[in-house]
Amino acid sequence: MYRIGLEAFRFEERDAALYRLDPRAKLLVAFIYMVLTILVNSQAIQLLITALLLATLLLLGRLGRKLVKNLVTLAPLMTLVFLANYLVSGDPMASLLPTQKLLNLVMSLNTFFLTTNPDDFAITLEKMGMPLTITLAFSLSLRFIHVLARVLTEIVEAQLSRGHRLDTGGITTRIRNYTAILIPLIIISVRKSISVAETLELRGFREGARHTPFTTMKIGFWDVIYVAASLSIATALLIYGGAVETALLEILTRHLEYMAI
Amino acid sequence: MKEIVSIENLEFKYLGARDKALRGIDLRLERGRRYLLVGASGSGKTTLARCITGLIPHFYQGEYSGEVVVDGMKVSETPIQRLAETVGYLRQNPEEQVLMTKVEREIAFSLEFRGLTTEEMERITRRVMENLGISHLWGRTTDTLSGGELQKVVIASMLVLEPKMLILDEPSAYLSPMAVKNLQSLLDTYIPGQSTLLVIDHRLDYWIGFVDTVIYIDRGVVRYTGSPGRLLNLLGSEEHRLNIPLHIRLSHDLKQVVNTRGVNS
Amino acid sequence: MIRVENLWYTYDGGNYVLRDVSLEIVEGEIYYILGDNGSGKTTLIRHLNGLLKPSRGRVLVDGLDTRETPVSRLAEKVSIVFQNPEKMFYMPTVIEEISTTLRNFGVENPDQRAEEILREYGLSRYRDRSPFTLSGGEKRILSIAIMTGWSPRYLVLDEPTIGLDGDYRRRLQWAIDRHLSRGGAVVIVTHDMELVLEREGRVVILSGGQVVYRGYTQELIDLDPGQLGRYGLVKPTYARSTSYMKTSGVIRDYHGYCGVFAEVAGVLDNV
Repeated sequence: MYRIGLEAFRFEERDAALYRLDPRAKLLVAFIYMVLTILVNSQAIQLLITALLLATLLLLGRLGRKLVKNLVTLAPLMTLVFLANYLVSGDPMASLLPTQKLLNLVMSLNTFFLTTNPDDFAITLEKMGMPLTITLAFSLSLRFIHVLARVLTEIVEAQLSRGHRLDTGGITTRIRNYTAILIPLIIISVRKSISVAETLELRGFREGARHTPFTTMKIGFWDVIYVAASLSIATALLIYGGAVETALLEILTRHLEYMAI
Repeated sequence: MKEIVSIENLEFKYLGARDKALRGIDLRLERGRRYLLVGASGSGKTTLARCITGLIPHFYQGEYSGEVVVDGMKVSETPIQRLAETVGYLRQNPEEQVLMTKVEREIAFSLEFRGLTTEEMERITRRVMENLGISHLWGRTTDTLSGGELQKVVIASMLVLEPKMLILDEPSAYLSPMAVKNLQSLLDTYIPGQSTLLVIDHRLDYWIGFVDTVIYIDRGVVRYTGSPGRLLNLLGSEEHRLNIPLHIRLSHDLKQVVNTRGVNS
Repeated sequence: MIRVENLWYTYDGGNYVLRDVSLEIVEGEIYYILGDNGSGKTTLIRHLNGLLKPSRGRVLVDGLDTRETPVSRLAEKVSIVFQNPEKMFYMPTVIEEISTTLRNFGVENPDQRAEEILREYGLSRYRDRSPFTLSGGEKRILSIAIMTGWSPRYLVLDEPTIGLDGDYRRRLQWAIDRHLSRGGAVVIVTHDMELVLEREGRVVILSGGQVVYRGYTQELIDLDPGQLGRYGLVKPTYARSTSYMKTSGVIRDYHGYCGVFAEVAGVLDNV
């Protein structure tokens, strides 16, 4: 149970349409969906957004298994959001809305982060005018979060093997047990970051140096289609939201009546 | 100029350290030769490599005196980035030397700062990958590679700059013996005759047949420079902290016994 | 006795890193687990004290099923010394690093015992230093000193000779011998063939998560180099000369020869 798994959030190469799209197009679409999710306050339409995002991730990204892991990992957080809202409002249906929004925000981000490798993410940021130091910091941290997650697992293993019990005892024992994890983690992280800084120097990186990225990016036909389709859906939902909601509710109620009968 | 590296009376003490890491090092490395730098852990091997690559004094601060000249450049006055074009430095843990997610981007990284076009970068990267026999890794993600593959990728990422010298720091630590053998045949076939190789490793048995010259360093002082065979004779007579391969120890000791007591005693 | 029975293991529910591995570890014996990088060696040893639980099959430590026994209970019997000692250090001084672990396992007079352990391992002069300031060899010996302090029955060493030279290597040998002489079992995961051939013991070679070879150390000398090479291994030079001695009739079998080589070299060192 102690294995620290970030696998569900990690980019893995895959042969699917979504992976081949330009990162800028994907980032834009993720952004469109996020804005839409934040603006829309109808639960029915949120449900529709969930369906759209699911279709994108499953059909274009072939991300079924990964998405399940991803959402299972986030389930406790979503439950927490739901419970917190329920405690305040006392209305279970109304408390569902923030949870739905969280779910849709996460899935919007997934359409970008699960399908874009950190290098391309860095280039995207660079193209948007961010300095190289910052974009490198982004891609390196994404890479090293996983390295550190593994180090953390190994530290926990080493301490368990020394007879440490991580979740028992009084406050003082617990604090002592956590320092046993934190101290090596901090020291190893510092060592690793020094080593990475060394690597950057040795590989010719200089602040403010002229930089020509090795990978070039080109907006293609499908990128335009992807953005245009998402944009039109979003606009339609924002403008005709009321009508869509009524239609959706009608379909839903009819289904429910049908099932009731 | 015959030497690629010439070091004169080099002393270094890390900031905050009690003792000097290097004490009066004098050393010349000739072009096109293979060197093995041995010594117990903590004897100053990596510090010496840092002095050649410019990490000392530019990256690690401390008390620095003496002079290191690499390919005609005074290290203390040349930026690390410039020195990296002459000396490729493979450090201990390959994982910390990988910056990018994609193999080809990792290898091309150093080229991105040299004002080349994308086509030129791609041509160089493909050539180096082909030479090292890792063309099939193009497009792979770096964290799915095995230890041996990762090491080749890191070596490739240095070779794109066509350095005149390579330093490998403890290359055997993360590899199986067979992978070390593969690395050696790779160095044999690929590294051009004119380039200099400095291997830092405490495993004498892996490298002793591979190098021309052994440099033995102990507590920051160079104790021996010369052929591998003579090093072992020298070590037989004094206290040392090295792992001498069993068969060499045995033959050396037998010789001693025969010499001092005669065959019949 | 540790019994590994038809062990299968997968990290992600998909690829099996261990496939039907069976193994018995008996007290008083030394076991070498060999194999190329990624062959499943480290995954296997993590099952011995219950850090990992089998996906299929089971592991029994003195009859205790690792799936039903807490790691702390198993760790008392099976001590694993991992490759990088820095991942276990957290106390301000070397002496406290040892005594805290003795306390974890309920050893009597932990402070006094810690002092004795320091002396035994020749680490007394580092008593009040921070473990992080020690050299690589010292760190490794300290990690072994910590992990043998409560006299566990099974000692598992993960690549113990990486970065270990001269004197520290001898201290490692001493620790292994002492553990064996007290009737414990030693399991070593290594690439270091010289270490393997120094003692007579049992060998298990893993490849692709499966046991592909079982035998005794001296039998390794006869294995075809090509076959060893596929498992990432290379014979040390003196193994080749022993093999030559046998084919030329100087010796009849290898029995005892690996150890003898090491012993002769040790004796001659002191002549």
